[in-house]
Amino acid sequence: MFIHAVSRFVTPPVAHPRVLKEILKGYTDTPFRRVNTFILLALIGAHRCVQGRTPSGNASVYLTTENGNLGDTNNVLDQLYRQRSLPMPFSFINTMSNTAPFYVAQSLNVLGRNLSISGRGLSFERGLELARLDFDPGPVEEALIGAVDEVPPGSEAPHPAVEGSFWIYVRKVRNGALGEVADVRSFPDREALAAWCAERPILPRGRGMLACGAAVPDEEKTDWQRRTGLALFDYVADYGPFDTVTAYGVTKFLETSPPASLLHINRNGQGRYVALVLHRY
Amino acid sequence: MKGSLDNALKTDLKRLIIDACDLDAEAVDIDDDGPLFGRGSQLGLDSIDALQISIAVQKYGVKITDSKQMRRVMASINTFADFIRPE
Amino acid sequence: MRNAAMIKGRAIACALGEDLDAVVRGAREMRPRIAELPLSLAGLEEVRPYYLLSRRDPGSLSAAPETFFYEVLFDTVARALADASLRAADLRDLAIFFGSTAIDIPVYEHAYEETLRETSRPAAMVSSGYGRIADEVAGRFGIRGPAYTFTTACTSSANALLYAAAMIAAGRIPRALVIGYDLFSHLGFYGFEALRLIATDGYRPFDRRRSGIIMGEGCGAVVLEADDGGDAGAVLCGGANRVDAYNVTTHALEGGAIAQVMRDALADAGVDAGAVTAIKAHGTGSENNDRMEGNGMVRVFGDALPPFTVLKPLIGHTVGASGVVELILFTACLQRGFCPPTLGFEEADEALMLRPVTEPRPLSRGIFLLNYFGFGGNCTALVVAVRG
Repeated sequence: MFIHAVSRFVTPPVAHPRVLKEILKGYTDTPFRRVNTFILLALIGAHRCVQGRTPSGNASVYLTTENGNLGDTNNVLDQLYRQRSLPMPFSFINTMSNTAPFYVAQSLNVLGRNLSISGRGLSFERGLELARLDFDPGPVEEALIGAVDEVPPGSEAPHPAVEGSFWIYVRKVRNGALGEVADVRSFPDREALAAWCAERPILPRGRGMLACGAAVPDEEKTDWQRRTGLALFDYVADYGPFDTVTAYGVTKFLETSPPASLLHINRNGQGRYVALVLHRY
Repeated sequence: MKGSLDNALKTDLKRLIIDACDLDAEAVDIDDDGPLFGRGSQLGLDSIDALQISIAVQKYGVKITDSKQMRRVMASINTFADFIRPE
Repeated sequence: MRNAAMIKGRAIACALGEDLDAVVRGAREMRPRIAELPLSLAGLEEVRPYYLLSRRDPGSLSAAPETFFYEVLFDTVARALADASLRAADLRDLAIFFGSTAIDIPVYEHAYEETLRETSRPAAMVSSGYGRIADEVAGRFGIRGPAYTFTTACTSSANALLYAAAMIAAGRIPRALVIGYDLFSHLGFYGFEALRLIATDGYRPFDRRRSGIIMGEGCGAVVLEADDGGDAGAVLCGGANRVDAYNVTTHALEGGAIAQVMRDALADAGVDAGAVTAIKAHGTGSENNDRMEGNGMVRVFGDALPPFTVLKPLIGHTVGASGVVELILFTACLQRGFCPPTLGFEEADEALMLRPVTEPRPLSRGIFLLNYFGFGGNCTALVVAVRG
């Protein structure tokens, strides 16, 4: 799965979706209405990613998210329980998070598979895993894979200070690629991942980097660094943890790193692990 | 006063439609007599917009119950205003 | 035909019951159980029909929703795991594929209401995350394989099945637990009402007098394993997903995308349209669904349209759960020798002139196409071989 384009959009929560709509106008002339913050974040990230390219009409869209839509869900609950009214139809429809990949597909005319995928603490990794399956042995040849989450409206600290939308445009074709998703592997526990790391060097020292997801504690990070002998690529410190921070880190590596390879290790609250291996050409 | 003769009410209704349907328009842009629904109409609204408006308009104490009535009532700003206030 | 994933164990909870034999009997005898629920929360005096779980007391819908939510889920999963006779070691590397439209909304909305009652200000709350439910299942049963959650509205658990089968077929995982789950929520019930989609005059998909959808609660769990190539059981042998970009709530009436997803699914399974024994239509009973699905089927099958049926009048539209719940109900009926009928259908829609199966029809083995469509233009079709 070869990476042909990358985008990162990270912002403190905006006061009104209108602000995001204005930003989106910088990437596409298509007018959008009846869309909310979550959908607009997805659209900004996806349109930014494919700027100047025309994805194939059969390309697929995989949107990964930890919480999906939050804003309109709260709007509908407010309409129901406080205003004692029927919900506004479009607020209700937009509580379903797959409306976001729908609008991405509609506006970019990419009519392949269209999914909204989650895995607690590992949503982006799960989306990459399923997309890889669709590429090989599956029939998909092009895809947009994104990670989108919003900060719940009206929330206060300790909720994250930023929200974001991070996308990669991947193709089966290598020609012109800037990098590659070389491997995505799941492990039932830390020991299984450690055994995999010990089998052979996963990445060459010198050009290989190690990154750890926000849920990996510092002392464990040091342990993985010792086991792999790789230099640390630390991105979590930039904004602190937030829902799409893994995708932030991966896209930051792809956008800013000189040619290198990245081993990204992440875990969920139950101690299951996923390792990603990426190359930046 | 009949709703269609009350410009303030009609401006309010236009704002309500703009807000409910998330339109990139100003109240002055909407013609009182022009059709609101269907491709090629001034706003190009669809059936879900109609549902959206029918719920937003409940604040005027009116209920629109079936879709045929909805289409008839919302034919234009003037018919809509007359429905809200028949006389 | 492609070898893929066979159903090793299954369990269901729906309006017809929880014991599979009882559920199949209910389908054969066409005895649906439909409750009437008030719209009082929105200040309306009318009632609307709803297919509640058989274990539900309609008067206590809001009692201890979190306890009820996990009771039903864990009980259904436990029965499916027992039906598959898995050992503890098999559980450890089991992968979970979970699909739902509302995810934790039935629990979350109750907490929202409670907070509002106590603080009388709009609650800024956070759902516990889409992936939580699958993780709760993993924690409860000691499962340590990967967990994937699909939220694609009414195709959610159909997509969970599609990916579980593809991963097994590719040899990436040995076995999978696939769950479809949606319970009653105020958000969904009043949301469908706001869209004026709820039938007020009986559930009649494809009938000219159809008046909409009746929602239902459902939980279905299946254990899938690599096909052993034997001559019994039900096997998922292909499928496809794609988007119809026509509109976020409605599919294009001419059924182009619908036809394409059915063709893609048949091609994935390596099966010709002529080999299809019968179709489980999605058949929500909305005018848009019936017309676009009818047109789509005619595009693929022409004059040789195989018998088709709609299960929803028996158990309601179980939205995101329908992928797994309808797979279980459909295959269980076939394995007991009949194709379940489309209850409520009497007269064909003049624009379509299509008649679904209306009486239990003797049918057991063959290749079956299962359709699922949802908001966000989502289209999924699965191909299932039933060997008896």
